Amino acid sequence: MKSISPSFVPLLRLIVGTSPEEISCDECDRRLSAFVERCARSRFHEPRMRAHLANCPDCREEFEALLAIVSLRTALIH
Amino acid sequence: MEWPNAQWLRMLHGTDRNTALTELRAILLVGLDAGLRRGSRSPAVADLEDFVQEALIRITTNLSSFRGDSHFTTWANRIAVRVAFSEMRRKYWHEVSLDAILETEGLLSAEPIADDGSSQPDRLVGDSMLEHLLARIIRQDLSERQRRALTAVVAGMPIEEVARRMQTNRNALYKLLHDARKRIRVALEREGVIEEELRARM
Repeated sequence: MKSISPSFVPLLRLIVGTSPEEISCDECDRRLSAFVERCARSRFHEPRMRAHLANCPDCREEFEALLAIVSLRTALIH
Repeated sequence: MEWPNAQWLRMLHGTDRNTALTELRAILLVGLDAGLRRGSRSPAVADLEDFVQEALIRITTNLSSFRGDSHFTTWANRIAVRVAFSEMRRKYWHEVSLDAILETEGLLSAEPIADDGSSQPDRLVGDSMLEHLLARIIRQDLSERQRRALTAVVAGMPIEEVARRMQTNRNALYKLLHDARKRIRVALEREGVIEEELRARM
């Protein structure tokens, strides 16, 4: 069942990940600092943030970079 | 040691401003170095310093928007990360036009199957049929702007760069894409395609 053209796979991921209501990039950005700190402490589940990050490559890229930064700072401080 | 948020704000607003800026600059440089060197587009040191300089300007002019729901340094790093990625995306994609992406992207190259009214809602679709069906839905159910935006994002262009080329902003483009994705879901459901069939191909 995996012989669909590779160019369609990212589209399928986006379609499957679609929710009726999703927060905007601005809302994600406003929540990101606190969210990343919670993620650095433990596996934090916040469905609306997770859904946005799954569907927005730009926000996801920034989240992953900030998580790396905060994890490093946490490791250095403690 | 991490300074308390109140100390950062007091120093940045007071006579110790230069001391705080020096400390913050060093924190942002270390942070961006760690955060950006993970990817395939590692910036040069000179670029990192430019990103930090721009971030410091934005941080100091937007201090009043810091809500205190995180460490001040996390908030500041978030701004620096956004500045850095915006600039890196702009540089990386500056020679790529939206039309060039749309011409080469395979999403629209699948010949759409005609909607002859004989769809069988309970059938399992084959790979080729699903591709043709998606191509038809993209052509028939999406607006021209939705079609262009979705095709470019699926091809890997950052939302921010697609937005720039479509004379809008990232927030509005995400909304446009969200509406497009919802339309495709509705159309697939109408055609009898269930989510498990999509998941099995991811």
